[in-house]
Amino acid sequence: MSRTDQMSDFDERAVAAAEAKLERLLSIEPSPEFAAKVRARIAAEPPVRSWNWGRLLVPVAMAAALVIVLTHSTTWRVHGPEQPVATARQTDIVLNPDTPAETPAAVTIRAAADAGSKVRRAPPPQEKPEIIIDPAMSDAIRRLAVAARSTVLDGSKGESIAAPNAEAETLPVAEPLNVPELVLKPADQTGGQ
Amino acid sequence: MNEWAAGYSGTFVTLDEDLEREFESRLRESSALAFRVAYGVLRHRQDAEDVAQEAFAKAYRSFHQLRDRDRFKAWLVRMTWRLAIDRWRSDRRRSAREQHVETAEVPTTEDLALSRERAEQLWRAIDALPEKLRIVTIMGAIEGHDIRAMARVLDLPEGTVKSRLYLARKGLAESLRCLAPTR
Repeated sequence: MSRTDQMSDFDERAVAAAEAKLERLLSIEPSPEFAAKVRARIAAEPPVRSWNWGRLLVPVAMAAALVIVLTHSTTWRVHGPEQPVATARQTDIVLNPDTPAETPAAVTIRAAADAGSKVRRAPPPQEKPEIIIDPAMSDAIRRLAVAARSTVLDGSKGESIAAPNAEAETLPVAEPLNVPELVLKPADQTGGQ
Repeated sequence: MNEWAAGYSGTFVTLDEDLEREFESRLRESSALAFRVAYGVLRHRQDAEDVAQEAFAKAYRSFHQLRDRDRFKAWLVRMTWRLAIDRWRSDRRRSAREQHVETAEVPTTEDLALSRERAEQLWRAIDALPEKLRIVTIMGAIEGHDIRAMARVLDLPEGTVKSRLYLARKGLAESLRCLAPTR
């Protein structure tokens, strides 16, 4: 079926007859009690379906505002006005990439002032100075720790972890302080002459 | 009509007296139209009445929001059509449908059977049309609806109504040719 096709006379007559028939079929009236049934239906409507939601809006908004105020006041009491909510400051341990693989890596402890950490309502982050441990010193500490771990002391040979200082073996004894009693005498009137 | 909803005053949406009177007059003048629109889809008197009543109940609930009261008929027809189509879709599988027959015009049993058969063919042909074409066919068959009136009720330009009516007639002719018994 296309828009441009013309209908044949037969089709025209068939459609005209169909339309006339349809017109007769649709010329019916509702029952006499139709209007009364409509009224009864409206009266029987459940009131819930016709609630005026605008009236509910005010109490709901007030309750929401109350909850927000209570939440804020509780937070204020716990943290105080100037306390940050969370301290997102973290310390990053960065292995120095310049250090060769054989030598122990220099450990750089840096204050986390990078862009990733955000602190709400906190004072501006204070820059901590970088603490750089000298690679030679860290190497020495490391070697000392390894040596201490792998060393077994033989007590029979007099090996001790204590310092080889002899004076350290004799612990100082605390003695009561012997102070002569102070006697107050009247002053010499003659002036010592 | 105030007494209808008197028990719900306060939280229930009620119309003031002027609106009540206006709705009452709209109900009187548009009952047949809503019922016929529903019947054109459902072909079942009880179902059509039920759907038309539902449409009026819906219209009552929103009547105070309708600014242009002259649009009431168009609004009611669209609402009734939509409700009837929904009901028709859900009841499509229902086996027995009441068919309207004009007993005054078909006195003999043979004529009655023939008329019923023709009516069934016609409804089948109308059911085969797309929804947009079906509504103009039904509205065109309801008394007093020329192209201008249909354009107003369906909220369409007159040219669109004409074009849809033409396509609907062609579709109807095609369906009737296919459904016609071969003799």
